[in-house]
Amino acid sequence: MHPVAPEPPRPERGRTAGERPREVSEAQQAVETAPTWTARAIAALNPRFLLSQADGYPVGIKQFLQFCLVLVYPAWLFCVLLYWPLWVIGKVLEGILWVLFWPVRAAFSGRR
Amino acid sequence: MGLLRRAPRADLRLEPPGPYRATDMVSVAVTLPEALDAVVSARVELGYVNEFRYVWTGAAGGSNPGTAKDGEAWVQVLEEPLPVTAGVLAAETRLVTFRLPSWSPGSSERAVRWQVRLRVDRRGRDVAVDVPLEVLVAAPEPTPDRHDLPLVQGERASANSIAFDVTTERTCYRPGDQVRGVLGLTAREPVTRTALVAAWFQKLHLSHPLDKQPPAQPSESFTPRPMIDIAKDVQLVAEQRVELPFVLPLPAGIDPTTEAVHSSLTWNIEFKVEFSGLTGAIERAQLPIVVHTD
Repeated sequence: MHPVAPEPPRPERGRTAGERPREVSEAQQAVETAPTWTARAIAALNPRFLLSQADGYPVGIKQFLQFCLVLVYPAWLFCVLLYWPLWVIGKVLEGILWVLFWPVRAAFSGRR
Repeated sequence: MGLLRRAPRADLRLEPPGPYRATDMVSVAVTLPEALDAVVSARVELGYVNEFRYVWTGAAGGSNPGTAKDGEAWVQVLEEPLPVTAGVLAAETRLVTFRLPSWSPGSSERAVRWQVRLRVDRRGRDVAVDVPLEVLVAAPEPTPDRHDLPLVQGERASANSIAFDVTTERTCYRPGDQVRGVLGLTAREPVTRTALVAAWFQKLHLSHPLDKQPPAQPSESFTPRPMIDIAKDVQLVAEQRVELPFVLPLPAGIDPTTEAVHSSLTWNIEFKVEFSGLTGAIERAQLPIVVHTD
């Protein structure tokens, strides 16, 4: 019979997604923490922000995604410039749907 | 001709075959019918295969379908080297004894699968033999009371008109036990519809891998199917408490509550009050319980 070794320490467990700090790239952090709407749009125009969207993917796939993101960069610039008018159009559409669906909400809301 | 030679054989036998409890001794008889040459190292390992979910797309993914995959990792708990003399592992039966640590997580069907492994690294063909063993887990000490495992309710603002309170006689159960208790319901608003009150057991598989990105949400599964009706056509009255006694049989053979290195299992009893009609709201509450197999 072998001598009994002392008990090994309990191995450290990992952390769940909720317990981990959020991982965002510097470029994305700059967009999220920009104080004003214009500063935010300018930070979003930085090509590093677009390239950082491929972060975390396996090697190969990441480079392919970055290649695709470079291709769509002009379209991305166009979208950022159109952001404000698109947002306004979206809000108008939301308002129209809100009025249109008023009777449906009135009929179905609540338990009574 | 080295490639065409048949695989070297080895046999592992557990004595006794189990099941085991934490701090038990596990004796493994390692039998080599013939001597192995060209051996670099040889060892017997005790540990468990720990299954978890992970996100292969890194930080960007997590909640989108297709971004999470199943993975597993070997968590080695104890190791015993076998003596190799001049690159030869002798043909003999050797008894290796391990003591299961007091913190051993309980065996479950997939999340934690305990194994004893023989690993012989050779310059030729390696030898790898795995033998499963079952480890039962005892109730936590000291036994948690209801304050440690509080009822979770009111998670949805749109369905939060009932105050739930649940009393159960215990917090820790074995598979196959009956969970007995009383469910108290107090409506905060006037109610005109009747309600169905039902319950089921929810298993949450939380993944926390050490070196991979965990998914944003735990995987959940339910048992039994269909869920158990506690009461039907209950007419709640505003500000009046209704008491519904319940007996919920916990299915036999379910996985115990476990905390391992890369993933954990937790159990909840889920209660629902479903108001009648097509647009009846569903109100829910979750009561955490501990399931132990010993």
